[in-house]
Amino acid sequence: MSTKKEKEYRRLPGRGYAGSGPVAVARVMSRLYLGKDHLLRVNASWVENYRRFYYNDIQAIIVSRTQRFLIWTIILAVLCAGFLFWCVTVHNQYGRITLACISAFFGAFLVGNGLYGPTCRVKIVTHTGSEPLPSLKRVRTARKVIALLKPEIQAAQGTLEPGEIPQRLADLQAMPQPAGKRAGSAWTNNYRGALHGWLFSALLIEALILAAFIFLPGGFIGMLLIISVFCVAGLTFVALVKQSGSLLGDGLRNVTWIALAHVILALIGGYILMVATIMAHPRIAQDQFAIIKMIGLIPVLKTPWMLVVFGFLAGSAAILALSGLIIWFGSREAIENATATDTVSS
Amino acid sequence: MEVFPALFRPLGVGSTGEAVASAEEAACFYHPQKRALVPCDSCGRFLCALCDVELNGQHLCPNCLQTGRKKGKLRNLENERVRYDRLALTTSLAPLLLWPVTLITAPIAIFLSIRHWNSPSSLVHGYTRLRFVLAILISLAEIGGWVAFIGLIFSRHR
Repeated sequence: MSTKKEKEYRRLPGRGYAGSGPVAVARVMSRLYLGKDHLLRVNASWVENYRRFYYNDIQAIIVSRTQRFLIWTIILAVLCAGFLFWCVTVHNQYGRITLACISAFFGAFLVGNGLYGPTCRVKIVTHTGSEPLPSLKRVRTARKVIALLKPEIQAAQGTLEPGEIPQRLADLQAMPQPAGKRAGSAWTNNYRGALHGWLFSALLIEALILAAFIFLPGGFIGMLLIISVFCVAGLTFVALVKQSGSLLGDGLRNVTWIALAHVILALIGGYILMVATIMAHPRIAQDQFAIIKMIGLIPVLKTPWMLVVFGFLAGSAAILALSGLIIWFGSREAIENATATDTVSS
Repeated sequence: MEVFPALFRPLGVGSTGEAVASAEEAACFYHPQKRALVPCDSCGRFLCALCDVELNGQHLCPNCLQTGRKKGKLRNLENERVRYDRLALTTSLAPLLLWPVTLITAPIAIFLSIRHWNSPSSLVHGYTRLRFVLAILISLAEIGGWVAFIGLIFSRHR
């Protein structure tokens, strides 16, 4: 039985997740298979969904490069270099080993990302519209698959002379479009902004913790503050990657980039505060918990420069969170409508 | 961007069927006023150009097409299949994180495996029954663990 299936379909390179969402109990994995007269896209979790693209019907395959490769490279490089720098500054041997391991962890992903190469998004176009091929996320994989697919399509349809294509495309564009049909929809991924909602909510919580720290400093609040800053940092990085090529509006994107600036400032500010505390209390230099506790004991209200810094961070976090949430709520309906229209026109 | 001749090919216009010219001509089963062109390869009814649906070299009537799709006899029309093997294996494995739940999920996993032993598997993957076998073995081990646990409790109370 399995031998018969292997002859019927040949698995093509590449795998990817269909759909979006920051947390999913069962992610839907998408893969491509080459059949005798059609290309089969399988989106699988506990239910397999099949979509057939007959070679005779395939009009075009569009490959669009995305920014995900560059964004992940920057994020991973910053994390790797950051932990490496931290490792060098720490005097504790075990701390150094731990930080070096974390740096190597991110470094391995950085190398892997570089080896896999630039990212892309692939669409297949037929008479009924266009469909994404989520398994083809890398340019290299997309090229391999297209090289395997092209002979099958050409066997079914014939070939076009290279000089013929521009003239035919010009003739096609000159033809009047049928009424009600969209001229062309912008390429988008399926991400609808769910993670951005989480990000701005986390920013709001961070703003509240920052405000609490100003008026009620303490070791516990200090620990909460550190956790919240790192959570917001993580959410910001992932949100930036997710929003690339998505339906999200410019307002939401810009707020997310400003949130990144806020996160960087918060991390730098936290680092400076930690170094200042260590310099003031050299004995606790090797005890991270003691450092956090000592920071928590600083009377922020009585220290002007700390009041300014924390006040600025709390204020900026609150403004970012509120503006982000307002824009996010306002754009939800527009994103859903745009997604539905895109699906219908496809 | 790769472009193929289908992009420039005009959409074909479907035929509505020709009218019957004389009483001696065979007529479509569903449209008695239209001339029959081919018989249905499944039920044998005569079909006009409008009713004829060509699929994988076969000529089918709309009724047989719908029946074939519902019964899963037309593979090319199948749009989804439930992976009962994966479901059974997940039902046996995932609850181990919250082990008391295995008292309920282990029998469910065994039921799923037996009930869907002969259900159609994935269109592209093989090794379906291996997952069923693993699900049954793991579930039996879980049930065995519960039996031992309950036995231990009873023996201690005595």
